Amino acid sequence: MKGAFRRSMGWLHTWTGLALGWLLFFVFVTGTVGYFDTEIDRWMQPELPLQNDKLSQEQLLDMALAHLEEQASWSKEWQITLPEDRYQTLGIAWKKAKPNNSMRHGGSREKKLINYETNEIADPRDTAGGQALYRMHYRLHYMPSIIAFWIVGLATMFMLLAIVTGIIIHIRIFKDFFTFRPKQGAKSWLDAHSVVSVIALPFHLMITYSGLVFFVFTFMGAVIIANYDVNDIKDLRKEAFPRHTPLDPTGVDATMVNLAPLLADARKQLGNNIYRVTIFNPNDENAVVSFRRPNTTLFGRDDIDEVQFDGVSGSQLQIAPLNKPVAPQVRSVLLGLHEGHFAGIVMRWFYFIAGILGSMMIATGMLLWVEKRRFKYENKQEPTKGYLLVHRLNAGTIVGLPMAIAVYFLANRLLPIELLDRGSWEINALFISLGLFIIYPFLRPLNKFWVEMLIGAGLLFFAVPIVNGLTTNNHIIATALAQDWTLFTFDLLMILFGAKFIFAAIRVHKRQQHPNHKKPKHITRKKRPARHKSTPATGDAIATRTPHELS
Amino acid sequence: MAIIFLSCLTFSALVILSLSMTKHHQQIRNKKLEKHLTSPIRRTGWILMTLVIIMAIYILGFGVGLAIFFNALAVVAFIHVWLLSYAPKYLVPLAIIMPIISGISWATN
Repeated sequence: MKGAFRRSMGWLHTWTGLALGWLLFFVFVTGTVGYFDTEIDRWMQPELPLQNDKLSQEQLLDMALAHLEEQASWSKEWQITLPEDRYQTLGIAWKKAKPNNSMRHGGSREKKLINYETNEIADPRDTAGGQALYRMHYRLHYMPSIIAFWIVGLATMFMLLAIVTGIIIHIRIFKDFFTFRPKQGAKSWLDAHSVVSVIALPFHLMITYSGLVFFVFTFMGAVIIANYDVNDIKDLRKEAFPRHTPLDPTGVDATMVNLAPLLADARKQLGNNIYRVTIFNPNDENAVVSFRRPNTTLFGRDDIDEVQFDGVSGSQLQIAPLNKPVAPQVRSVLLGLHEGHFAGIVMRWFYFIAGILGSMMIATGMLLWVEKRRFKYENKQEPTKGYLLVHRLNAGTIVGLPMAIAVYFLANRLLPIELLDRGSWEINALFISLGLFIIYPFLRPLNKFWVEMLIGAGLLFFAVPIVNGLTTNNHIIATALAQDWTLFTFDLLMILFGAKFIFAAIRVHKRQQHPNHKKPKHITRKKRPARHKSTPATGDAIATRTPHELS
Repeated sequence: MAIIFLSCLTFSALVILSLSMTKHHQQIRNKKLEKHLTSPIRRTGWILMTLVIIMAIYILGFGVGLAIFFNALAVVAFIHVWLLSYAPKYLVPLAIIMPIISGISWATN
């Protein structure tokens, strides 16, 4: 009975994983890249100045205020984004005169970036940026968001199912922290799959479950309709997400206090990483100034990361705690975990690596599916169409998607600056190339496309820092000299990824040349005839490689 | 810096735990694991791991501390299993040196 149960769970695990594996891989990879969305944004706008510490936060604040005064003295709300660990840009934003009724945040704001070296409003190239990559992981592209939410939601359900069934069929959770046996064919792939799944299991569970919770308003629409007025979801939002309503302006002009001492005071209370200054009702009697740092806690996120001052008298204001109901609180904890709101730079890297582990979990699972069936087809019969389809789609997505992302970065540098709708053309470049990379394995013989695609991926990634150096002044040496480690690390990572792909290509190629130099200890080994080059299956040699080469 | 220190300690705990297993002990030290040592080594590993969790919660708060611990565990376990397969002789020296260096740099910062 127990055996039968686990066997059926095994079946479920295999097929739920396979059914939406490629889409999940896309979601995981783009989501992982999204942990560095703002960093990528800055890389994709090389017109912005390199990071420098010459100007103090106070000077930057003054600079931003002067621009706001000039651009939007009439506005009810100003917002300034100061350069901080992650956000190395100086941004200003203000509420537009006629707030539209859109519920999306930021929708009613006008935003500008300031080049703090020239003290001018910056006019960087139009780009979709890291934000587009990040958004793709939940709303895909080229379709209404509601459809995308449902597709990704369905995939997420499958993922959750695959994780839970995976835990059931797998009892040796603890031992898998330590077990990886390289160069043993399917066994190595199984090890690799188990290791990356088990060591980051809390992350996988958290990211998948909280991903579902994100779109609770979409997925559980029936509950909402049953309890709230269908036409006015605002009631629900008000109840679930209470917000401080800022004071209305009195209409009486007043001179604002100098903000520099307030910033110093706020820094004493919050630390050095204040990144957002909001001014409600500027130049009015009811002016309020708020300073924020990135969230430092998962619970009660509104109170401790912000200080507010009266904009006219300069005295500190108490922030009344918001009475959030329990359910939205749970949701905000899960969302905070998913997005890593509280994550500093080290933690963000950990998230990034955990995301890569998640992508590897999916990739190794897909490759394992092929590897497990490989011997059967090698020995007895012609491979079925399904097997060949999976095999080719694996190459097309697992190598093709990183390649397409490299193309996206290259498009950012190579598309003409004045191109109309340039940002969406960058995204088009990503998807067109992804389509081509998925088709490519179908046009090539089985023993060729893995190596060719891996070399292609390596070259594309190497091309990114080179093209960057040729088309902008922010080449890798310049960023290193300016100690702009964000941009430097971006180029360095591209080189490392490129090297990794080339290394993988060499290993796969070697294995294809000498397929038998280490025989995999596989259960079917005794019956297996010696391989020779003409069998289509030699092209599968990638499947005997370690996952590290594909990471 | 506290996060790096805690991650290094987690790494050491994993190395100790792997030393308590016959096969991995052989891999790391090229010597057979003596039976009477198994249980003390394993216990040390678990005690260190528990200490790391307690420290993480104490330093970083309950929610963030636990979240960071599990994330750090995933990352160092990946490094650990990679080294165990490809460069096992570096495990013990790293397990000793890394917490010391990161601990000092955390304490002096």
